[in-house]
Amino acid sequence: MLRDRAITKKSFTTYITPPADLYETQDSHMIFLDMPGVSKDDLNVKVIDNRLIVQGKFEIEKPKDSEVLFNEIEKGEYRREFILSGDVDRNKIEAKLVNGVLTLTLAKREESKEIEIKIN
Amino acid sequence: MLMRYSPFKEIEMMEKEINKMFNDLFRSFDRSYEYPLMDIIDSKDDLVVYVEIPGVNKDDIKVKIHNDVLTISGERKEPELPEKANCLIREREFGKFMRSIRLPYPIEVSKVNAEYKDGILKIILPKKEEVKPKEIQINVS
Repeated sequence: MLRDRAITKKSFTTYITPPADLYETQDSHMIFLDMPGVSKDDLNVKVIDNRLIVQGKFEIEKPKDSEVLFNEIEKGEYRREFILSGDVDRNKIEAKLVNGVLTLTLAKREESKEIEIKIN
Repeated sequence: MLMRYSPFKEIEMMEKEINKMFNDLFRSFDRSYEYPLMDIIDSKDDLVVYVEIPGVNKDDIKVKIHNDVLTISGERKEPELPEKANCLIREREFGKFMRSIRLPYPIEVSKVNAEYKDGILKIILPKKEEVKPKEIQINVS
């Protein structure tokens, strides 16, 4: 019995890396991620220390007695991590999911925003 | 899932994983030839086509059936950005797309149904009555 060990499939999971666009504006960073098939309930966005982790699940249900003719879409779990720079306000991160595209708006800290100094 | 531990099983799983990585790598090369990606599932009563097109407006997608060719076309527009946005990373693609496939069965064109949700377009194409598999019950006496 001692030799019995559980092999969970999870230990070998490879994740799909969703393609991302990153933009910087004057008072925020914007990240766009393509995560087709992920619904709002299957999406998980969290911040741990200085890492922003985006994770989502996508499955296509297949009815019984059916045959797969084309299988091109990658299914499984999406995951991508971003390291937050010091100027991001961790409490002001907004997430929006529209048509399979996740938009994250990371507001910059008040003190790290650009200030123009007038010259007398 | 619980299974009895066997070292061969683990090697087998590793091999699977490596194969998957290879396939993913090569697929990314010819991805540009076949966009959008699709899954087609042939079930008893209908043909279900899944098309991966994230971030497209519902009105920008066109689905057409001519004879036995299904054509999906549309345009993926860039998102509206605030002024003075600097682009730091750009991995996503935009622009017009089109893909046609020949359907393996005659389709009931009037009953075709399509829905777009979470970036996946799902088209349900009911098969014509004459091509549906029929079960014949044989009574054995």
